[in-house]
Amino acid sequence: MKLRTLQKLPALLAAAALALTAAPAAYAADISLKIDGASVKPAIAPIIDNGTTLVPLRFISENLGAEVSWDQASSKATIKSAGYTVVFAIGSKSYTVNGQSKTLLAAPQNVGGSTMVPIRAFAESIGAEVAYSSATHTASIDYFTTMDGTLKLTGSTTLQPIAQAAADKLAAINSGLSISVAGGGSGTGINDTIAGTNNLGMSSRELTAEESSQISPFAVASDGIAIITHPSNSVKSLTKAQAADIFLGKIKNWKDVGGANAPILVQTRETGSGTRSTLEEMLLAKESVVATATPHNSSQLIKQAVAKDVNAIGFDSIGFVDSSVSAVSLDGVAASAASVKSGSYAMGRSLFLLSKSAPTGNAAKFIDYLRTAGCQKDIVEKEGYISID
Amino acid sequence: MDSEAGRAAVSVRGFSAYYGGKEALRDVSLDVPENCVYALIGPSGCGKTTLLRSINRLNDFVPSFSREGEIYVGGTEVFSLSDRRGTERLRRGIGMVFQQPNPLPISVRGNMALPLAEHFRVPRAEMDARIVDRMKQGAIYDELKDKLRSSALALSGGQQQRLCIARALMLDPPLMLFDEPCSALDPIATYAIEDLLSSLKRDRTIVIVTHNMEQARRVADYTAFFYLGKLVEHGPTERIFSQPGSRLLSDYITGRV
Amino acid sequence: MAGASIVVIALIFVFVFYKAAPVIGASGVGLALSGGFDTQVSKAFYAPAGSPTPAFGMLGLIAGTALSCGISTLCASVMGIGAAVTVCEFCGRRGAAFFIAVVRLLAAIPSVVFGLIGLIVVVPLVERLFITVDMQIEYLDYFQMTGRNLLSSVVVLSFMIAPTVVSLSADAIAAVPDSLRETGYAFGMGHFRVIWKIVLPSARPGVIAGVLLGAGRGTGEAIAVSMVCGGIGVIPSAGFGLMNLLAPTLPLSAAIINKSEAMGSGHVAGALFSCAALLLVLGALFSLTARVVSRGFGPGGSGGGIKA
Repeated sequence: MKLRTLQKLPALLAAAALALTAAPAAYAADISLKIDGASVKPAIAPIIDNGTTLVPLRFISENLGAEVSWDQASSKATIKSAGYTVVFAIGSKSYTVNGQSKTLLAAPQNVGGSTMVPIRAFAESIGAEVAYSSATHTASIDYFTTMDGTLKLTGSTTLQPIAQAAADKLAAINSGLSISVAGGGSGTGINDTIAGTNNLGMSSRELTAEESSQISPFAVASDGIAIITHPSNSVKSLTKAQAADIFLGKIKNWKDVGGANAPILVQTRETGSGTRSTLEEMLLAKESVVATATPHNSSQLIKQAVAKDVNAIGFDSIGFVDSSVSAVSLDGVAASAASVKSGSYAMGRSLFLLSKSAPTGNAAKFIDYLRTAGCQKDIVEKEGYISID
Repeated sequence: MDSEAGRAAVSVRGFSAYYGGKEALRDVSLDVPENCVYALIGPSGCGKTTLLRSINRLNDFVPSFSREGEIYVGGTEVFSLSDRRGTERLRRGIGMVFQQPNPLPISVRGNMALPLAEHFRVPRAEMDARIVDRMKQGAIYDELKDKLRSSALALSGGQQQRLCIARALMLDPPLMLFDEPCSALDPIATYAIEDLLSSLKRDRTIVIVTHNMEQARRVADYTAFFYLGKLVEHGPTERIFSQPGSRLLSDYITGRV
Repeated sequence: MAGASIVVIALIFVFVFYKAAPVIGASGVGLALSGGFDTQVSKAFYAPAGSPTPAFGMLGLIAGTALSCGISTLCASVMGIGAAVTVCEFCGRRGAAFFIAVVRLLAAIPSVVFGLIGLIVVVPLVERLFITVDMQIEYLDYFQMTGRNLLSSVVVLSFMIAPTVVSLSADAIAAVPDSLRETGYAFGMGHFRVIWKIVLPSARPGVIAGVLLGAGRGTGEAIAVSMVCGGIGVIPSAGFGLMNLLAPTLPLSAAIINKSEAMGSGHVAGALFSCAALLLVLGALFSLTARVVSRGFGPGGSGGGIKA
């Protein structure tokens, strides 16, 4: 008996604490939650306070593709989605949406380490729709299922497969929505975004100063650049210095790096390609790839060129590497998602969606969608890229 | 070859011509004496042009053409020439002037030089002298002596036709064929050509196809009248026109056919 | 309608030259007389915002355009005029009509298809037939010797230009009146001599118009060439001799395609508009010449026909 009381003690203490900090709070364990039509079960169940349903902030945010940051000193939670910045403070009924102050019916509170916020106020502040069915005690948030109209993306061929997969999924759950995803390279994506001829651009490189004064980037995945050779080339690993010298044109023969007596035919992407910019920045100390290198206009074309010539060397996103080429290990580290994520691989980079103004509507939701935990796992990682977190 | 054919410039013997199954000429025989103008007249489709184009074997290029009988030119039966070279040599000795003036789209001089340059290597001075001479014979030199370098296409129709005659003279053909040479020309240009014909016949034989009877009467020494592929009547022009020997010919002369 | 098209054309010229003006101004005559375009594009692309317009040198691109277009026009003319003569003079009217219809279809094939065939067939073939590993090593300091080179561009372009030459030449040859041919036969000329001395000279305006329009297409052709040209504007050097044919090239039109990814930089955009400006001038020259020539020989000429 004593023992059982002792075991229950933490729970009792917690209940007492709750009773003190959030006096009229009541558990509402029987409230179920649906996001975009799918039932979800957060670790901390929703509660009802003063007739207002409160839900765990981080859990909902992750499902809506928003990012939560917590400031311990001020007890403030900042939620950032592509289109909105929402700030809640524990115990305060006032909150801000994109800098505008608003008032809550119930103050956010901390339950077991989770920040709980009023579901309606939060969801609507980032543009989602909320419905409550008293018959089934179900609160539904609809965000990615309420899209219609069109959305046009252009740019990086590296990012294209990810965007296409997301577009397919969104189109499947929104009958009135049509999304087109076209390539063209990062340069094209950036130019189109600046010119306003797309809704979202795709870029696999950081923006230049001139560009970032006109458009904003949103990281949706990361990626590593693999150095690729023909599968039957005997050279399977290079030091970072050797690789750099090859792409700078200082090493010209495979025999100098342990291969056959044959010319090293450097394949590169055209100027403006994000992959090339990243390679030049991360491997070549911002110097340019040797001027005699054969330039290609897409990830596919450079891979094909390498796959067809036993003496060729090129580079491509890790996501693009397949059995037609072989990825050389750098300083003994194989090019893989795992090695990029762990930081041991030398050439990793972020992939961005680009928007001309602060994204709204379909564009904002598309960015948010790619950033949801589900998409990061089911699309980004599945396509061979590296998730953001 | 009989003796009469030997004296004639052109001798036609029992000549019939066909285009596919269609008969164009039936059993024509006539002799063209040397150094005269011989006119072939008759309504359209009578076969006169077929006969003319058979003399230099230009009808060879009509795929459906076939014939019976013989044509002798300067004693040689033209259809006995079986090889390409022989035919080409025959044609070289027969000048031809067509209904439409047909200078090549090059300079006047280029047109004049072409026939000779095609067969002989001629020094430039000699060529120039010959061009001047033949243009004078063709009564075109005075008009064109300053335009030798300009395009032949820039000339008037009458000038073009006289240029074509002068051009045909470059090879000194003893026989010349004229296929309605004035039908595309105005009366003044026509008279100029007719004058030319009378001066040309001094050294050569001329066979001319015309449907203009007045022209035949003015220029021809002999006339042959064709109707529906048959040679109806032939003889000295004066006799043909003053005493037509057949009803058909007199009807044609008076414009009733 | 005609007025509207003149206005549109004028606007295009004004727009392109307006966009090209800063680069043309900064480069001066060096634009046409110096090389290094590829590196200059790279440098300009990474130049900090607000930096002054750099100078560009397009000699390599101009040489690429002149060589690829010139040689292929020559090949296409020989092939095209030969084919037109053969078909019109030896295949009969029905055969000629059929052949020309087929050739017109060929002219309608989109250029990207030519490019694809070039990439899949011509590039490997050229590499296998003409290039050895030793040659590659020897020339690697100057350029990469692969199947993507001037020769492949010439082959692909020749096949693209030839249909234009064939169809216009065939039209012109068919329009030569039979009486002109007969004139030649009457002089005792053989068939080949008649073709050479009479048919071709008479058809010349049409044939030349076909060649010039073909050359115009060759100059402006971008997609197909960009796929097989190698992408680098190597300036031909007398020292390389015939090896120049096996060097990569980058004609002006292909440069616009290949470098368009770097257009985010205003300077690169200006440089590409300079390429466009050069192309516009070239194109205008070709079509004007074609027009003047097809009017015929000398004053009062009537397109090669006879004056009735």
